[in-house]
Amino acid sequence: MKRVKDEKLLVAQLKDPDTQEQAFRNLMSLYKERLYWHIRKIVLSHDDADDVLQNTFIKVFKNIHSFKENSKLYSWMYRISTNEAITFINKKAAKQHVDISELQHKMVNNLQEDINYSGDEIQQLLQKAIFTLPQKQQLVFNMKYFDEMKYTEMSEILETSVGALKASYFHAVKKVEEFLKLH
Amino acid sequence: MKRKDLHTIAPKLSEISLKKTGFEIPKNYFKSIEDAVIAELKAENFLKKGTKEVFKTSENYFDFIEDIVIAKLKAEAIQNNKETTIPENYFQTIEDKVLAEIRTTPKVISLKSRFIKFAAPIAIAASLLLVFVLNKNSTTVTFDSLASSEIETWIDNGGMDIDALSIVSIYPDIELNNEIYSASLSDEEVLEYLNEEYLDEIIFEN
Repeated sequence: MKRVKDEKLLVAQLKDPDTQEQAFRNLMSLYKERLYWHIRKIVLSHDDADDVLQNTFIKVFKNIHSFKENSKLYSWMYRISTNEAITFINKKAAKQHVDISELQHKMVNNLQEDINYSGDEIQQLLQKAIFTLPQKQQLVFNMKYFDEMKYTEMSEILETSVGALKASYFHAVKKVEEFLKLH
Repeated sequence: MKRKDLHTIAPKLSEISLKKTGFEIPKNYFKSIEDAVIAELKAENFLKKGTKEVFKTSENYFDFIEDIVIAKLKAEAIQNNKETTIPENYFQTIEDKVLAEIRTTPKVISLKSRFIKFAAPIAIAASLLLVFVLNKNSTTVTFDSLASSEIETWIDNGGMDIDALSIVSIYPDIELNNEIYSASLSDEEVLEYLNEEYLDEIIFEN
């Protein structure tokens, strides 16, 4: 209950020109890490994740007046960051004249040269396995497996029923396991 | 699916440490993200750049600005109205007004063109009179004493074919413009002149 009250107050402060800057700083401080890691797992490189995170916050600020408050602020922001990240890699693929799966294959192979990546062979293999999944399953897998998010929260963010999400996660785990066994 | 069930469904996957993804971030990255976003929003003018204004306005400027603008707009509207308004029924009456003006305005003929038009025939007429006077020494000859047929016969015989140079040689103190030098008068033009009703007056005055 307190969380709902706090969120309402924060939204009101964000809409008030006199308090919006400080309120926005508080909002970013509160959610920056969670949103960053969510984005990073989609785009992989730190520089791209940084771009997407900043764009996400800017979009949140610019659209705060259209935030309906019938969903949680955090869920709304998570949804924006997901869309921003997917749009980002789609544009990147289009720029390189390749499809998404080909781009993701290249992204995983480039991880070894990334100074901001220290994963071992098995972690890199897991990343490759995730990229074999359809995009929605990738999101579901990341949010459940790494972030341990509740299905109800995921349902609000991805606007998908809890049942469909459970099924999706189950299929994703099976596929990833299969990939790991084969490689 | 609970996490504890993972090792039964996906044993290989459950072996991978969850806490280690391999993704790193630059040192102090999360400390600077707010400033970067705020700076971007300020650059795009979505956030106030600061409360301290460096530009000043005159005292109570913002109390009167609406009145000043409204007054200016009204003044402009009056000015525009003046420039574009025409009297009522202007376009219905313009033709009549113009025609009336044309009827009442006296025809203005420039002195120069009138002089040029008549100088040559007058000179011719005067020359003819002089010739008759000299030829009939003792007899006084006037235009009245000449029969019209005699004048017409003289004209028909080419007596009127006098060019501008001849006129100038007879009357060196008369200035003629280039038009006269370059174009000789036709018979019709001279006859038309001779038929002018006030010709007698001109001759007698001279």
